[in-house]
Amino acid sequence: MDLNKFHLLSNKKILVLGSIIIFIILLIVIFLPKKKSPSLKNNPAQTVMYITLQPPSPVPTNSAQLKQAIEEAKQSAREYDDWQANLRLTYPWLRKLPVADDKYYVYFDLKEEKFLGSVYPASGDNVAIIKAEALRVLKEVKEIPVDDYQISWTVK
Amino acid sequence: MKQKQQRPHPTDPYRHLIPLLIILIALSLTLSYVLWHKLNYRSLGQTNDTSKSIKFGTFEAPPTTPAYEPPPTGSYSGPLPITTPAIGGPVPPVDYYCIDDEDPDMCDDNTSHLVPKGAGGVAGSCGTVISQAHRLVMALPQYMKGLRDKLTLAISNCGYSTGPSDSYVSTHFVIDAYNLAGITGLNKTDPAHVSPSGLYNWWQSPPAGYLFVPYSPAAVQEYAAGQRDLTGCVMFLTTSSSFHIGIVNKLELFTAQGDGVISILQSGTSMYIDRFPVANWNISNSSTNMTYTSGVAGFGCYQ
Repeated sequence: MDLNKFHLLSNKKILVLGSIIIFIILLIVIFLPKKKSPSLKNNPAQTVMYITLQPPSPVPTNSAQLKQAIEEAKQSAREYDDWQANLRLTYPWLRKLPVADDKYYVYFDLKEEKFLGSVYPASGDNVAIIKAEALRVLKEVKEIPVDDYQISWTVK
Repeated sequence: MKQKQQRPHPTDPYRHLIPLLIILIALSLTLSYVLWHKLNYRSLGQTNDTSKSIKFGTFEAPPTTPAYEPPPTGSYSGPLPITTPAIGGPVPPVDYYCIDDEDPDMCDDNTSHLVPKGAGGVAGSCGTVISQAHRLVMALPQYMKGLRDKLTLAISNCGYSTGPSDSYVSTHFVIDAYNLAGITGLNKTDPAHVSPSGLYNWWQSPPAGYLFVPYSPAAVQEYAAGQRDLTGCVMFLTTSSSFHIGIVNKLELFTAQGDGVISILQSGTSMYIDRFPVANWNISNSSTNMTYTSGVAGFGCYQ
């Protein structure tokens, strides 16, 4: 094999041209801006920033104020629960009410502390029979001590 | 002395081949490098794998669980029907809640009240508030006794997620239900929204779209007539120190003269549902002589 054909240094023009191209490649490699790290795509454990679809609150979060606000809500819920618990102790049958039909409606009014009944008779209906039926449901079906309290009827 | 040969043979046909090959490779490398770096950003938005989440340009949306998105409904619902109180057992039908009529806990007998699940009412771009409230209720603790003050799993809809919570107060329930329905403006990191009194004040002069309806028998009558559907509105009950709040579930009418019950869904209390008698369009027993509450103040709504 004739080694002389690989002797490139003899052609100066080609050597200069090749050197310039290699130099340009080096410049491109060095100065071209780097894109984002590919590790974001390849590493699933890495934190990814998501765009939130909910508009942020214009009010800056103050943890002390937020705790106070939560405590206010808890206190309010406690008051509400205590109120409900006391109602159950005082009137354990309260949650069985109201009783209703298309001709009557009876509930226990906590402010007046008595039963309030409304009767809606159609023409020809006997109001006394409607009341008796409502009382029967209260006493026999719901087992509510109606006689321990006053009951006021309104015929409409 | 024999002189060393410095030049290739002038007739060698391969003397320019290797330099040209070097130039060709260099040009190819340059072109490939430039193309790769200039066009690579475009390819980041492309994927053939449809199981992955949708990609928008250079960011990726988080994968979400399939969410229930009922269609929005209008605020006019028509007159409410006259019904009779429903009684049932500890396993209510699908569209009902159960309230025990004897014990201070959930239902465990066949004499309990069945409360229909509300529908319609306040709606945002992603559904009704009440439908999201039903989902939140199911994520509250479901034991017989104890506070409903935790959210056991995250509820998501329309890009909003509640996240689980170990301290889920009544205002959190409201804020989440509204955001899940696509109604923005309320935020769980804003103390003025988390505080019940702050939320009440906020609703007195709210942003566009929100509306406060002061309590009155006329408001209840309009609700029954279908003129102003309060389902999904926030009912403010005045307590001695602040407000207790819940989301209006349903007004059940038992007579045409304005007798029935109104029920609310809530968190942070022993029961996630409560109901109050309505007599002649008045919400009764929300105020007692026990000084704990002093009645319904009004309804925070969105239209």
